[in-house]
Amino acid sequence: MVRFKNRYALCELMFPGQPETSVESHQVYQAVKASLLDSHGDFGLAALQSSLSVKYLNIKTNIAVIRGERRHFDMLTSSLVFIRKIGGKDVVFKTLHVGGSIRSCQKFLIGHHRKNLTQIFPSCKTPEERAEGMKSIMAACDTLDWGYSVYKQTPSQPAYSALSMLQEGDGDEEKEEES
Amino acid sequence: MAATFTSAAFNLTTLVQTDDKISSAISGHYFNNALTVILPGTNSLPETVSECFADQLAYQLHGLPVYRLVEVPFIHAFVKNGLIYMLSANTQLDTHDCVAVTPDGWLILHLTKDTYHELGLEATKQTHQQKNSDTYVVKVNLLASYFKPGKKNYDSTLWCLKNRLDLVFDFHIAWEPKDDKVCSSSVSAYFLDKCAKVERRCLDRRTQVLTSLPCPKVQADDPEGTSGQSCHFQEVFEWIGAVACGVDMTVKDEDTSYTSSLCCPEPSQNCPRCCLFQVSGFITPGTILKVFKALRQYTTAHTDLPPASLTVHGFQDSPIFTNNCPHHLHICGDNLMTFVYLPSNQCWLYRAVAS
Amino acid sequence: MKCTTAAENSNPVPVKPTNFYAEKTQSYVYLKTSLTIEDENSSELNGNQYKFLILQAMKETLGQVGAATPVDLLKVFGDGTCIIRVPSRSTEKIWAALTLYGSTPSGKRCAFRVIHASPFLLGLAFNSRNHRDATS
Repeated sequence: MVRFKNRYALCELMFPGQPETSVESHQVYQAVKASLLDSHGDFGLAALQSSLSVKYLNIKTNIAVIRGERRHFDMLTSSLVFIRKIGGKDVVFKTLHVGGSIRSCQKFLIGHHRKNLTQIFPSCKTPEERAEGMKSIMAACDTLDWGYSVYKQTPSQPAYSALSMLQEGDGDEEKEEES
Repeated sequence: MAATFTSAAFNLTTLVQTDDKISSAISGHYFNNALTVILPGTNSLPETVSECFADQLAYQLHGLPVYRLVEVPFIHAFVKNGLIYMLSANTQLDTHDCVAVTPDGWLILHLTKDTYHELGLEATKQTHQQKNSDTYVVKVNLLASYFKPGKKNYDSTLWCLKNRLDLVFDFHIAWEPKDDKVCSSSVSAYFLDKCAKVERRCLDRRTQVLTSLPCPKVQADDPEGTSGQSCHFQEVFEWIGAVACGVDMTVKDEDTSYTSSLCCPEPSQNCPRCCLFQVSGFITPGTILKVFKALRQYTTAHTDLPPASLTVHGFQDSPIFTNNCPHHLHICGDNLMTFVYLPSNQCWLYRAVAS
Repeated sequence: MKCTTAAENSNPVPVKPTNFYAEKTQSYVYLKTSLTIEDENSSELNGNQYKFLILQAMKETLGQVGAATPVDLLKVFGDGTCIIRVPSRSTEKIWAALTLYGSTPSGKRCAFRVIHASPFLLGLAFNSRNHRDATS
């Protein structure tokens, strides 16, 4: 029996000019589906519809993970580019990473957030602001833990959470800054 | 995934016009459906070319049982004393049984799996494609010394064809006798009482005059057009096809480029008038050889014109291609030969086969 | 692929080499298709209308990306058939798109039928399969 291979696209949803916008995952799904039908027709939609799903959507950081069949995944990524509106709101999809599993997308996402930390922290003047920024990222990452729990069942892996990884990483950054 | 869905072989050979390879190529292509002649610089076909078809006789036999083809009188009178061309008509190579008799004395039965297993004759070794499509080719050598009544092989073949199945086909038939005194129409007289109906197969001729036709420039020693002074041979082949199909090749402006972007390959020259002659029927290689020679005479006399070409269209459903190569059909069974007459006695020979 | 062999003929003209050139793949496939439209005489269609319907068929099944494939309408015959040229790597998709197309934008039922497909344009000049029609 051959495993059904999927690909996962890690996308950032950018709402230009509307900072406090949030969407629901079924709206994202409908938007992807409509764009797929428009750019690749009945054939493209039929090839991907059975495997298409929005696996994860973080409304605080506007990060989404979209699953599609590996063989036709290029059709999905190309149609993501053409999405302009979700639920009446202007949107731009920015594909950050394409991975073979949710886990690899998650790893990338942690690295991505960690990299962004260094950009946020120098702009923080007071420790309060810094704590505020840290808190918002940690709050955003709470939902990541939920996504990770699917893969927690493998016993050989040490049980660590995305949040703890972030904090460790955060510690590293501070050390670097000090030195 | 991106592979082409038809398999096609396409090549070009540059030859001298008097080369033996040309006559062997023509006479090895047994079953010809049509000819296309493109002759620039003239309004009408030269007399010498149209005369070639005068003594071309072809017939259509309706409802002929196959066992008649292994009978001794037939083999003696026609297979041994001339070149016989027989091909089953209205049969499709991919779905039906097809039968052919070649001038070198082979009876070829291209059979579907059902017919093959019921018939009981042994097939020759299958090619890879035949295995995939479940077709079987039975070849019987009618000229073999052992193939005569009283011998086991002959008797069993005749019995199988006669008694096992009612293999009845319509045939295209043409015969070129070795002896000039014998008329090639005697083959129809022979089959008159052996099949349901014998019909004379007339040639269907069409002549068209094309005016101000753009013609690609061709150089015999530079088929790939590397110098920029001549066109690539593949573009020239497409141009010949476009002329044969009557496609408009003028350069497109903004309004007409919506439908098509095909235009004559560059560099080109304008030809004020051009004769397009097309003939279809069951044409024997002997006739084609005559046409080739007549055209050669004409083109050597008119060297200043754009190159003339002669195309031989084979039958799609012929079980063999040139030189007894097995032919099969998947999407299309086109098999073509095109001769392009070039100055200083040179010639291009295109061969195109698709399945 | 290119190989050169010396011609072994003894002509009065200087002996020319026999050169052999082969193309492994053909870049185009030519399709002869017919179009029938309900309650309409498809022989009245002109090239632009024909091309529009082909593009509609491609857009429906293959979307905007598929409809961007360069398809050339080479010739429209009077009887509602035409010759189109498609890149050989997308032949199956375009053939499928034409087959699946069922109704025109005005709501009339229509059907494309691919009669003959060939990698050579010369192959479409004659069809040896319709002899019976030609003779009768």
